Amino acid sequence: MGREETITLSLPSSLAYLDAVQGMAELLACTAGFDEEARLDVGLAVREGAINAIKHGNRLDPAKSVCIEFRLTAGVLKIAIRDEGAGFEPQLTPDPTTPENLWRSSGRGLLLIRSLVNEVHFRRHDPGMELILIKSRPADGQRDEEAS
Amino acid sequence: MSHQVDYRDGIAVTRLTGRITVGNALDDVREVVEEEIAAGRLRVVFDLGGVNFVDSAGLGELVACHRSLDKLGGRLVLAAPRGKVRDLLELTRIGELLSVCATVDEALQRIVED
Repeated sequence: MGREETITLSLPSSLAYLDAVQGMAELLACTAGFDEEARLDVGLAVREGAINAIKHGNRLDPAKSVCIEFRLTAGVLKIAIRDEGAGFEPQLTPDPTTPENLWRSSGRGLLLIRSLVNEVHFRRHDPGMELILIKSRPADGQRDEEAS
Repeated sequence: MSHQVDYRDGIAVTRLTGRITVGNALDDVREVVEEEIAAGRLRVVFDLGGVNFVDSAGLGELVACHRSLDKLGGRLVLAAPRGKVRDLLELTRIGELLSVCATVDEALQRIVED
């Protein structure tokens, strides 16, 4: 692929759209040449990012939207998930794997996301928070093998 | 998500099938445990062999079920997770909180021994 391709989704703040968002992410990961495991990783990472944006960012406010941009370049699949919430400090989120936090029933989303993609970045906006996920695409040779 | 409960020596073995994700599936999982608690059965095995996908909310619900049983002196053991579900249980170290066994038989043995 010689040029960038960008697909943008704008969603109401409803968890009802999560399956559709995950499906779209997996479809684009397939287009990008990822194998099945990597496609599922991308789908789950985007799902978790969307949950955070809808639930914790926009607090399920139907008047607020979540924007998801998928950018496919020669080297990576880059996904930006932006909400309209108050934002948060990622470094202040508690580690869910420590003994005192294992009992909590929430707070594992960022841990999952970090394990599923190559890079995770956060960008503050006014208003809103943007989560940027980067997954390296397989080399051309690998893609050809998987396609055959 | 669907589920089917069998009882073995008073232990509820619940086979969960499908996806445990944010939404109705979490209510279903919670209801399974609430029904067992209401019936006075506090030892539960979740057979995850038919679960093909779980998200962070689903993992959190498993922890919440364990918490509900634990505070009443009961026990939840997870059995037969596979693929990504098993990987996520390891990543989140949930196995340090509640037992995760490779098979249902192993889970039953674990729950009887404790």
